[in-house]
Amino acid sequence: MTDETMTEVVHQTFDPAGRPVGPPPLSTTAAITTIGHIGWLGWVWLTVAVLYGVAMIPISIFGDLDGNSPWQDAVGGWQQWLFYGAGITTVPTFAKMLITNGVTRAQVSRSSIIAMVILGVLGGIFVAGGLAVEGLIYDVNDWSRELRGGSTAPGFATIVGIGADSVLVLCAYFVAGWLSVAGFYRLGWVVGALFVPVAMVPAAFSELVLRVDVGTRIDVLDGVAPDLPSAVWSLSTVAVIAVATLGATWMTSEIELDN
Amino acid sequence: MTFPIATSPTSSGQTSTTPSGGFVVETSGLHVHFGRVRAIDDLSMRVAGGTICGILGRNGAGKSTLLSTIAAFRRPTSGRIEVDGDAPFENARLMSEICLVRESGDFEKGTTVGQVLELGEALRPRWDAGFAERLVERFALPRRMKAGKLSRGQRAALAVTVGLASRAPLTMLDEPHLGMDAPSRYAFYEELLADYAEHPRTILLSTHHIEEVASILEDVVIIHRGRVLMHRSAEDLRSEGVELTGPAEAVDAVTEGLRTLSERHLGRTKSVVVFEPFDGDRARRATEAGIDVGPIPLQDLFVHLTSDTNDATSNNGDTSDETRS
Amino acid sequence: MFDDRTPIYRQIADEIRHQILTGGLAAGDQVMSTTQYSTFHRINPATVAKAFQQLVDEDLLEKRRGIGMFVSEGAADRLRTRRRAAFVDDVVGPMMAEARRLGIATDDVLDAIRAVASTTAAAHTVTAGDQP
Repeated sequence: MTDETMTEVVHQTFDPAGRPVGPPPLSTTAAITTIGHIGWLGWVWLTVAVLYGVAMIPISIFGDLDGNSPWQDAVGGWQQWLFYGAGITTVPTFAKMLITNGVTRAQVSRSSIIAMVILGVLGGIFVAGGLAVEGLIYDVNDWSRELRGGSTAPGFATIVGIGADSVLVLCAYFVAGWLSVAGFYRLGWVVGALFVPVAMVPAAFSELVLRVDVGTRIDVLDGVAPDLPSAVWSLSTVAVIAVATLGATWMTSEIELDN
Repeated sequence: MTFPIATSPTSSGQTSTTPSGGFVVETSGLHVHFGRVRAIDDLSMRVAGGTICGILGRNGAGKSTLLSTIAAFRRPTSGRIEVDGDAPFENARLMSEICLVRESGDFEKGTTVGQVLELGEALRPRWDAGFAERLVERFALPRRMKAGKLSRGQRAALAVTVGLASRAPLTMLDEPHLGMDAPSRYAFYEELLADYAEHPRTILLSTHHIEEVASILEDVVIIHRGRVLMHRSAEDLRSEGVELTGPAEAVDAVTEGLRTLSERHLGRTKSVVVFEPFDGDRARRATEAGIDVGPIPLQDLFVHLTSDTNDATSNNGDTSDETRS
Repeated sequence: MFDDRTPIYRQIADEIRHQILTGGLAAGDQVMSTTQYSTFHRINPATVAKAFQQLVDEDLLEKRRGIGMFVSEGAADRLRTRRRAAFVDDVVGPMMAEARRLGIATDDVLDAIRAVASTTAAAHTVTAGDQP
């Protein structure tokens, strides 16, 4: 190397535009994981909402839905599995994409946690918002609504509670998916497969103690578990999710990419 | 700004003493094992900052494993890697400043060419979007096409685009040119050299086709069975291998005590490849004895050096394990 | 354009020497920059720099800081003088050794040289100027 070619010292800390040079901030990587998930989850939500809306127009004109909740049927039972799938993509899609672009595993995990929470909250709003809108349709038609799980004419507090429970269930499934796939990366195929039931614990726990299937609560715990206020169950789910997230972060911290 | 020191006369033995502009890469006693397979087996080397260094080796020699370990895609089994003085694994500063692109591409199948570039722009501290744009045009990459639909050559061109536009102080290209056609490869070499001149950085380029890239390299590291077989300046390597052909006794007399890589016989004529500087007195004695002294092509030298029957240079011979890369 | 057997810096230096000798590069002419040369021929810039440095050491090129490399005053003459001095060793010596091996008498060699000289002199007047 010689003469006029040496015009720049690479170790500078500012780029030519005066911006500091350094690793990408968490906001950038969290935006990538979050938008990456919403990229497909959003389409599913939109499709369900549109189909629901299209179905409701003729029904509300000609039919009678007195007594049940089509929205509950529309969003219950499957949504958590989308989140399980989203959790699975954390490692093979997002960890790979980010690590190969120079992001640390620790930051991948933090970004995934942020994405999980944002997606969970959006999922909860989706569920609760639908119930609220449906309530308006029922009010207009003067139908009475009864949710599976026994809640009749659910009011604002009930709907918010169902939304909050949905957030936790969805997050629990997300972290279960993340743990499942991280197990395969860290423990190999055989042990990883055996680890999947362990990875499902957060999801199972949330199903047992919270109102699953959007508003219905499994009766398994009746008579077995002490009759505690639902806030206690919600908080214990938060704790389980937190522990599972720590575990997933720890397992992700040693992920190796294939050659 | 110029560096007067860079223009002072260089000493006769060409070593990489480029003053700045890129991370130093150093490994010592590095091991990377996959179960019982020792892909990297006690590898020590030091690549000077700001050089274009070729990592040469046969298939399975451990090139890809070495590069992906330096890039912190994996953790060493044991031993040490230092890039710019620190271990790269989970080091946020270093990882964002080390860019490894592999021939496989590592691109998510569903992302488009444009999205791949957006990711680079968002995540690479020194990304040059204008340069990336120019490369995309030069390689005629379809911006909206998904990575999974690209041809092998296009995928390689996209990898090269990402690698160059990142401007990372340590840029590593793992057999990037394998799938590219000749015009694309030439375009790649030209862009690499032009951008390197403007933005000096350390570039590691792995390949098992030495011939075409030899001229763009300053240093060459030959890896064999997970170890460094040889580390030379490319120019030294070029002048060190000679082939001596002549009467068997005369050839034997001249080559006594020298490191030979191969021998061939044709009647009473013997042909020996010697890997040592062969000039001055030795060359004169050989010529006087009626021996033809000829240089050998780099590719031949590489083949001789890494042939498994050649024990003169291979280490201990205790690594019979097949290695993978 | 570069063979892969000789150090490239030597090939680059030879090429520039050849251009100086044939008038392709005159005294005061600027030669390509390291970067231009490197990119154009796809060669590592350190290799190019080494070639240029060798030519600077031989007083054939001179560096003007911040501008580039230029052909030195009197470079062609210096080169020619040196080549003449080396002519006997480099060309005549090996030729006579070969002649001895083949059993060609020195007088016959001299005759052959005169014959070749007369034809190339004629040819040279035709092709001179074609060389870059």
